[in-house]
Amino acid sequence: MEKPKGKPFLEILAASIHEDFRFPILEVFAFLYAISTFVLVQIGGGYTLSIAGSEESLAYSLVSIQMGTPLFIFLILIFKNVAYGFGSDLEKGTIQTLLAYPIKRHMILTAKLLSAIGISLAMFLGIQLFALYLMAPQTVANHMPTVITAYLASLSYPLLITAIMLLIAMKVRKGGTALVLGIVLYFAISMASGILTILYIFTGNATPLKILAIIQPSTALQFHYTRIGTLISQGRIETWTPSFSEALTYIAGGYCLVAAAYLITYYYFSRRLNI
Amino acid sequence: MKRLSIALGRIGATFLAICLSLGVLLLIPQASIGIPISGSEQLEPMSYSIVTPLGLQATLTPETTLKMEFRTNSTLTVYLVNLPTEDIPKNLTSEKLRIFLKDKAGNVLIEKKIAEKETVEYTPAGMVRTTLILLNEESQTASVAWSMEFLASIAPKARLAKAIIYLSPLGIALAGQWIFIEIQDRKRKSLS
Repeated sequence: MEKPKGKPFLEILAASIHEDFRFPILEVFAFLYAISTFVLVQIGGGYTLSIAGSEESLAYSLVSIQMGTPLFIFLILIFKNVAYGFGSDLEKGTIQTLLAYPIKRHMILTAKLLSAIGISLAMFLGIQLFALYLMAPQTVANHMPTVITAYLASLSYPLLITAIMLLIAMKVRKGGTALVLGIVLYFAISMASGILTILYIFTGNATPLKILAIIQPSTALQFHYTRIGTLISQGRIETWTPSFSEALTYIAGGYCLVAAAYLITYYYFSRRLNI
Repeated sequence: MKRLSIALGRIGATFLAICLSLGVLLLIPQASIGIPISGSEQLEPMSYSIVTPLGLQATLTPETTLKMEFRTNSTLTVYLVNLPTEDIPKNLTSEKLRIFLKDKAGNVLIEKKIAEKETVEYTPAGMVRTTLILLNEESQTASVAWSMEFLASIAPKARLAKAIIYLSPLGIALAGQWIFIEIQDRKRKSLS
């Protein structure tokens, strides 16, 4: 039997990239990222002439508005690569070819994830930072920590969903089913976020929002920069305004959850998955 | 070697896709927002006038271009500065104003000599509180009429064009070598 050329890890990585990003998938998504980044800033951006707002909150709102649709496109790409791609590999049995390589299972999963998430993430962040630099170089340069924090907060939730989706794909071993379940999960959490925000506005109880902020740390950062008042307490407006360090704690909590989800996924793939 | 060529080629094709999207954005015209403001005044020799285009508290953000049109019968120096109007001294001589602006060189966004009719556009790179100073350093009184409007665009056109100029040759070079190697490969295969 002929030995595979090069290091097995790189071989698997190259094969995965070739499969996940056939020409012109990468190019089409780059086009979509770039165009949605700019177009949506203007549609969503009500800050063209801002009245004495702070530049830090402008930097945050610029990042959060600019990220909206591209983040959704990023999720579609991830869903395609992880849920559909990985699920189909398990369904069709092509994963067995990869398992034939002289390499540990967790390394195979790492190569698959590097291809599925790593490249998508690099392209997403690259285009986002490029667009930010084109839009407001001075604001971005002056408030780099705010920009980085906003990205960290917003990426935690998609990464968590990806890990859960990967676990579902391994469990059901069907690309289509994993994809549908992933989409359902994503919309369920998004709807829960909306409902909890409305509940907070009407009741003034911020506890459910605080729990949500662990899954979706961008909520804490949003409430830090945007004061959202409640409709209760006899004319006195109560707000949940977490401090910046509190928001950072929520982000750290969110990433702990992400790390735990990936650890479970790795454990399941390495020890429990029978192929 | 072949893999490196493919990787670079795909990066090049991605750059070209980004350039294409930026090109599409360039085609979207700018829109005038708000009501254009205008005014006129007589400037004594060696004197200056301060104009606040946005009002006292407002700031200009990066997606907005400030378009200013001037008509004068003399030669004036126009300064657009990133300073609140109240921070600019009002009763200085033209010499002292120049010294003041030299000290605040970091806040001077535009310094331009204008004569007869000229249009000046400015797109900020961050949040700025713009104040306009019209300085007459000539020996005769100058009359000046100005009008200003704010143009909103998807993205600053000048910066988009610059990005396309730098990115597209790189994309063409990277994707070109990939296409060239692919064509050679196919020729070789068809010959064998």
